[in-house]
Amino acid sequence: MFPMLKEILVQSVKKPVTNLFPAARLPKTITGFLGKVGEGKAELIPPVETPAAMRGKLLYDRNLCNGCGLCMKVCPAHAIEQVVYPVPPAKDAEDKPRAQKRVRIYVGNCIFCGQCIDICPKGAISQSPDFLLATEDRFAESQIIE
Amino acid sequence: MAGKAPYIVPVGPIHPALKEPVHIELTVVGEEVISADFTPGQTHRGIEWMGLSRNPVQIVHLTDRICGICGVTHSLSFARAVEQIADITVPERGDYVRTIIAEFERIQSHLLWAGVAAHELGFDTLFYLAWRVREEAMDAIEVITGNRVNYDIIQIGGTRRDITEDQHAKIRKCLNTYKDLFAKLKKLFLEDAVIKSRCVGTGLLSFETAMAYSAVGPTSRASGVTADLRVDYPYCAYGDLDIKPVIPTIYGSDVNGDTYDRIVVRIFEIAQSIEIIETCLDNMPQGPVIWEEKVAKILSACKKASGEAVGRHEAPRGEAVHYVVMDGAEAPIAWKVKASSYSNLHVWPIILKGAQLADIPVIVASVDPCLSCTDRVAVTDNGSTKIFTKEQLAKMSYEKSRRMMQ
Amino acid sequence: MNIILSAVGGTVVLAILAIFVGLFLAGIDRRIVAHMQARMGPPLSQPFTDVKKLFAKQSIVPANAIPWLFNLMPVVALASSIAVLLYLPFGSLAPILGDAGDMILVLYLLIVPSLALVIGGFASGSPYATVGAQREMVSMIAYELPLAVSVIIIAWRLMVANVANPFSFTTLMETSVWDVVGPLGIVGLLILLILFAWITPGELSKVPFDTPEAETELAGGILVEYSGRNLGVFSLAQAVKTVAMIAFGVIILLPWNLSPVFGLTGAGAAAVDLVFFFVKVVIVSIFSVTVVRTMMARFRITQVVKVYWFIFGGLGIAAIILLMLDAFLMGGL
Ligand code: SF4
Ligand code: SF4
Repeated sequence: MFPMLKEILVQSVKKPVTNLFPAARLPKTITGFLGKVGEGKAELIPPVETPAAMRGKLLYDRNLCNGCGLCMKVCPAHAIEQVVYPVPPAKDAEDKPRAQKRVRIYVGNCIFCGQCIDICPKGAISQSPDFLLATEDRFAESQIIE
Repeated sequence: MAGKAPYIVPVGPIHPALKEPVHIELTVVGEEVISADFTPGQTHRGIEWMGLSRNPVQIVHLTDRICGICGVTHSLSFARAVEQIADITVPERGDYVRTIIAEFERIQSHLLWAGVAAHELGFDTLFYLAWRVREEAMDAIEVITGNRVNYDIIQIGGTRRDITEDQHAKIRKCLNTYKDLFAKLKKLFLEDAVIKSRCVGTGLLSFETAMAYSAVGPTSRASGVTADLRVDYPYCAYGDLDIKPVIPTIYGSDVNGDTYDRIVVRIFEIAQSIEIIETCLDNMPQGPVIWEEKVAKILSACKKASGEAVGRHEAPRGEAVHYVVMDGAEAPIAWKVKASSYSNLHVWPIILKGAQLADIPVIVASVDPCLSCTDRVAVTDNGSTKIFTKEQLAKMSYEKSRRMMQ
Repeated sequence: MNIILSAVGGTVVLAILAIFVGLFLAGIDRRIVAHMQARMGPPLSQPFTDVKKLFAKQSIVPANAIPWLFNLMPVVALASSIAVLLYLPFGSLAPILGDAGDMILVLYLLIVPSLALVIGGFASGSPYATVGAQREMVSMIAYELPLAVSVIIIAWRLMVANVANPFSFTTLMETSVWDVVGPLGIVGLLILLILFAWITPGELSKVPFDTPEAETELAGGILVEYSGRNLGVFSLAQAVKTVAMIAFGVIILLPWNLSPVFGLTGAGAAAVDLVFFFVKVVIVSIFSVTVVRTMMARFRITQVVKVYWFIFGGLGIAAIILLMLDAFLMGGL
C-alpha cells in the first residue's frame, strides 16, 4: 500500500547522496572561506567529477590565430568580437608588418557550444573542463579571453 | 465566506504548482472546478526572431536553448528541416547517435516529469528519488555530449560527436541501473495507495477529445491514441527498430485517459527508451557521423540552399515541428517552431473541468506542460495587451506571405 | 500571592521550554526527513534561525484583510497552545495549574490554535487562505471524532476499573491504563496507539493531512498572507502545539516514568522523568509525524474526511468494543 515505507527505511541507514560542494555547511562568508582554503586552513569539498570531454571555459591561443573571423560567424551567442592590434615595429627591411586582427571572447556571453573550436582553421581555440566561472563582474579579467 | 457562490481562483502566472509562468483561471464552487481557462504568452523570448539574423549553423545551437529539457528535440527538428532544404543526407551512424541521444533525453525528461508530478501530489520523497535517479541519465548524456543540459550535439548533416567504444561501458552501466530501477519505479508510482486514489479517474481525457484537440505524445497515448511519430513516420534510426506506441494497456489496465494512465505511459516509455538505446548501441553501423566535417562547408551549403521544409521529431512530450524557409541567404527568411506542449495545453480546460481543487496541480502537470517552448507570440503595445481574433490573424498571415513571395 | 507568582513564573519557564523543545523537534524532523530522502538536511538549529529571521522582517497586512483580527490571531494561537501545557503533567512534575483542568478541557483547548488559524485565514481576505480555512475546518471536524472517541474510551476503561477521577491527568500519569486491562484490552489499546499516531499529523497539519496549507495547490493556504513577525508567532504556536499534542498522547497512552525503576525521589526524579518524557515525545514525533510525512502523498480534503471517519472511526469502534469486552471479562461491569 505504501511502497515508499520500505524505501525510506532502507535509505535511513544509508548515507545521503548529496555532494556537499564546496563545504558541508554554508560558511559565514564565502570569500572568507575561499581565502582560508587558499591558506590551507580549511578544506574544500571537491565538486562532482566531470567527464574529460566536458565543455567548459574556452582557451584561446592568440599566437595561433590568424584573424580569419570564422569563429565569429558561427558563434550563436555573438560572444566573439574582433580586435585589431596596432602595427608592430618592423623587425628588418624584409618584414612588412600589418595590423594584427585577433579575437576576444566574452565568457559571460558564451554558451559553451564549442562551435568556434570546430570551425577554427588554425586550432587556436580549445575547451577546458573549467566550469566554476561565476563572478559579479562580467568584464572581470576571468570573463574575457583574449 | 461567501458559501457556495462561484469564485475565481487564479493560478499563476507565478504559483508553486507551476514550474513556468502561465495564467490559469479557475471558477470554483466549493472545492469543485466548474470551468477553467488559461492564458499563455507570459514567457515569450523572441527566439525565432533572433534566428532570422543568424545562419543555420548558429541557429541549431540556439534551438538547444528553446527548452531546457528537450534540448535535442528542437535542434533535431530544425536540422532535419534544413537538411531537407539543402539536400543533405545524414550518414547512418549519425542517425544512430541522434537516436540514442534523443532517447536519453526522453528518459531524463520523463523522470523529471515523474518527480514534478510527485511533488504536485505532495509526495516530496518520491520527487527527490525520481530526480536522484535521473542523474544517471544526465551523467550518461554528459559523457556523450560534454554537457548535462545543453547537449549541442546536433549539427546540420549529422552529429558533432561520435559515441566511442570507451563510452559504451559508462552508457551500459547507466542502462543497467535503469533496468534494475524500473521495477522499483513502477511500484513506487503505480502501486502507492494515495497516488492511485488521487490519480485514477481524475483529469479525464477521452479518446475522442484527444483526437479532436490534436493532443500529442504521452498525453494522447494515455487516451488510447496510437500515434507516435517514431512509428508512424520513422526517421533517424527508428525505421530499423521494432517499436510500438506505448498505451496504458501495457500495464494490463483499460484505457481511461486519466492522470494515472499518463503516469503509466510515461513510466513504460522509460523502459522502451532503454531498450531502444541498447539496440542502437548493438547495431551501430560504422562510418562518419556527419555529412561534412568542415563546418565552413556546411555553412556554404546552407547558404546556397533555398526552399522550405518541415522538420519533425517525437519529443518526450509529443511531436515538435519546425518550419523553415530559406532563399539562398545566410539566414532563413522564416522559422516557426511548434513545440509539443502547444498542442497539449488546449486540453487543460477540458480535463480541469469538474476536478477537485486539490487535483489541479497534478492534472495541470499531467500533460507535462513546457511553456517557454510553447510561447511563440506576445503582443504588447505600450504595456497593454491585445487579443487577435482568428480572422485578424489569418489576414495578417496572408499579408506576411505575400510580402515574402515578392 | 505566592501561588500566583509561582504560576506566572512557571508559565513563562514552561513556555520557553516548550518553544525550545518544539523548535528542536522541528529541527530533528527536518533532519530525519532529509536523511530518509538521501539529502543532507539543514542543521538542527535551522528552525531557530528561521524564527529569528521572521521576527526581524516586516509584517505585511494585505489590503483586503481585517487588520485587528489578522494581527490578533497569531497571538491567540500561541497563547492557547501554551495554555494547553499548563494543564499537562510533564513526567512526575504536576501540572502548573494543578488539577484544575482535565482531558476534556485540553481536548477543547487543542482546537483553539486551529480555530485561530481559521479565523486568521478568513481575515486575510485571500482566496487561497479562504479555501485553506474552509479545509482546516473540515479536517478539524474529521479528526476530532476519532480523537474524542479514543480519549473518552480510555477514561471510561479507567473508571470501570474503579480508578478515581479518571479524566484527571494526574491520575492518568499515576495509573497507567495498560496496567488495568487484560489481553483483549491490550489489543484495544494498541489500536488506540495507532489511531493516535495517525491523528497527530492531522492535528498538526502535516503531510498527508496538510490540505489546509497544501503548498502546491494553495501556495501555503491559510498562512499565505502571513509574513514577518505574525508568521513567526504562528511558527512558535505550531512548535508549542506540536509539543502539546504529542505530550497529550504520551500522557494518555505511554505514561510510564523512569524514576521508580531507578528508585529515585525528589528533584532528581523530577529531572529524570522530565528528560524521559521529552525523549518519549521525540520518539513519538518521529514515528507519527516524520515517517508518515515522508512516505506519503497528500490526501484530498474529501479523502481526509473519509480516512478519519471511516478507517480511523472504524478502528476506534473496534477499540471500543475490545475495551468493553475486556472490561466485561475483567469483571469491572
Ligand atoms: S563556444 Fe562560446 S564563443 Fe565559441 S561559438 Fe560557442 S558561444 Fe561562441
Ligand atoms: S580563432 Fe580561429 S577562427 Fe577565430 S579568427 Fe582566429 S583563426 Fe579564425
